[in-house]
Amino acid sequence: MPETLIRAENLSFSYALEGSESISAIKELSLEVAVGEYLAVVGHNGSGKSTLAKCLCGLLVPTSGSVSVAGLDTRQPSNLVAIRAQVGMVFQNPDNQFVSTVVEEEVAFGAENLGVPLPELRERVDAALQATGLLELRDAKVHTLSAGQKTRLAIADVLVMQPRGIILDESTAMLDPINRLALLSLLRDLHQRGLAIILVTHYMHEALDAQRILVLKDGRQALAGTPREVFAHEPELQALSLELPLVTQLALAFGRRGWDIGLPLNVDELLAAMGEARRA
Amino acid sequence: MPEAVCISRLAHTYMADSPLAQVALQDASLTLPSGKISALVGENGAGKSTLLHFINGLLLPRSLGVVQVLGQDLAAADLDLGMLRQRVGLVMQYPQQQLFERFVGDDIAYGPRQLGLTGDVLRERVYGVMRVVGLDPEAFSNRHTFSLSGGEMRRAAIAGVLATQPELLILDEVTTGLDPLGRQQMHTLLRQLAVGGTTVLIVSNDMDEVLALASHVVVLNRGRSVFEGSCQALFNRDDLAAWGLVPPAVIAMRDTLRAAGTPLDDMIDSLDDLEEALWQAWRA
Ligand SMILES: Nc1ncnc2c1ncn2[C@@H]1O[C@H](COP(=O)(O)OP(=O)(O)OP(=O)(O)O)[C@@H](O)[C@H]1O
Ligand SMILES: [Mg+2]
Repeated sequence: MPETLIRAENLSFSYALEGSESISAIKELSLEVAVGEYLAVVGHNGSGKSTLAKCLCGLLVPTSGSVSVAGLDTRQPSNLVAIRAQVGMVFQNPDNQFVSTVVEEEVAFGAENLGVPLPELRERVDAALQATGLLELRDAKVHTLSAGQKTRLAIADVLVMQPRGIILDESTAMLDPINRLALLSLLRDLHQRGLAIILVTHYMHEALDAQRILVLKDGRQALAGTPREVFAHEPELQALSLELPLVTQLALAFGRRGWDIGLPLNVDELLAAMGEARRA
Repeated sequence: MPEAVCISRLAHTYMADSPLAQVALQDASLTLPSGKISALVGENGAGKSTLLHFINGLLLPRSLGVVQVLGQDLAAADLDLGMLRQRVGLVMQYPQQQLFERFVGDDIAYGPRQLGLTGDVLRERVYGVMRVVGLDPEAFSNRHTFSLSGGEMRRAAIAGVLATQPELLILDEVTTGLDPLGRQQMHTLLRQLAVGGTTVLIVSNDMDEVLALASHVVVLNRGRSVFEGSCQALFNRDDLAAWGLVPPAVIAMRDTLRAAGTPLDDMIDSLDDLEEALWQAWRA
């Protein structure tokens, strides 16, 4: 059994509106994220992805049920500093997240607040800048960075805490195509190094990197499993208004023409599957 | 009139003559055909949003460059900016830049109210565009604007601009944050608007979307326009990466399959084409 990093049990979260009304955004959701796991979260607008993301790192506290991070209950205010050091979050628009004007100071800020002593702080900042490819920009002003660089900076802010997990809410959204690919590859690197990744996205091809995909609908889990397991539920995915990766769509189109080649997830698998099917 | 927008040799520096000066545009030219969907693409920081701000008069050309929009020269002394902004609708990159009323319904009603709409006509207009963008009027009219999810907020921002029925509709990062169904619905809507005569300009980082929608593409790189033409011409180039771009997924897949030995020609640019060609090559 892999060790659990984040555990949500029967988690519900409601936003209080004016008067006695409220919006229930997450409903009785149970979820475990293992240490070092790569999880993608997808679902329609308003399905609760951002709310869940904030619950999983302690930014929002459950209305009922519980979330624990490395065994620390997020309902306990005294746990929050320790939780923050375990799992960090990157928002879609990281501009709202920065507190300093210079890149290096921005990265140092979080760890300084943890009371990390100076020599170690330097090392941590260097490591975070190195991992995100920002070493050369350490003296740059934050406001002069491009959107791709700002996303990297927000990730460096998280890495400097030496966390075990990182949650990204639609972080590729504002990036140009090359920067999108670069970010996905950075996430694969971080995952290789043992970090748990939780990626919220509207793009199924981005979710392909994950070991597991969670599909939300109206605040509940609609589907969950490996990409292959999830894509096998084509009719449900259609009903959930989600898109399959192109390769998978092609394979399904061949299936409709009476040529069954299984469920390839990338071009190599497609070629192999077509070759196999032709030989058979 | 064949051209809705004509920009030539435009340059712009933010905070010019200050230590914080930042060059956003150096030499940008483009021509947008009316009644068509055009796309403006380019890497982060290329100057796309700045260029859009010139088209709806948020920025005005000073010394360098000519900007003509719907037949008006934006440097003209008698320019009626109010009138221009009624005819040109801009959905900004971040919905927070544009939403300001406390309630969603009021925010969307703001534009048409300015145009003089009231009562039932106003309500019909507002509810109509809310339905078009997939926000149920019953559920969302009285919601606090800033309590919406990311995608809901973008829908509200788009609805507010659609409500003014602009002749030229500009969308910065048109479907970012929308779920796949929302994206499809937005595509259908933009195509319908173009058929009805509206000129549409989108900025997008999603090349699949550009391929699906745009008949005319402009590439901006470091403040310069470096390409203007069709999707076909753009996406069959092999130097896209230098502009921060990648080919759309279908074309990337076509090229990978071709490199692996499957004969596929350059005209293939949709999933249906690819399906048929692969079927022919592998099954027939
Ligand atoms: N601050 C808030 N106050 C009240 N309701 C909210 C707030 N934030 C979100 N909601 C509501 O909670 C539900 C879930 O929202 P959430 O932001 O978690 O969705 P999401 O899956 O992230 O959507 P998107 O894809 O649009 O980003 C929606 O109905 C939304 O309107
Ligand atoms: Mg969200």
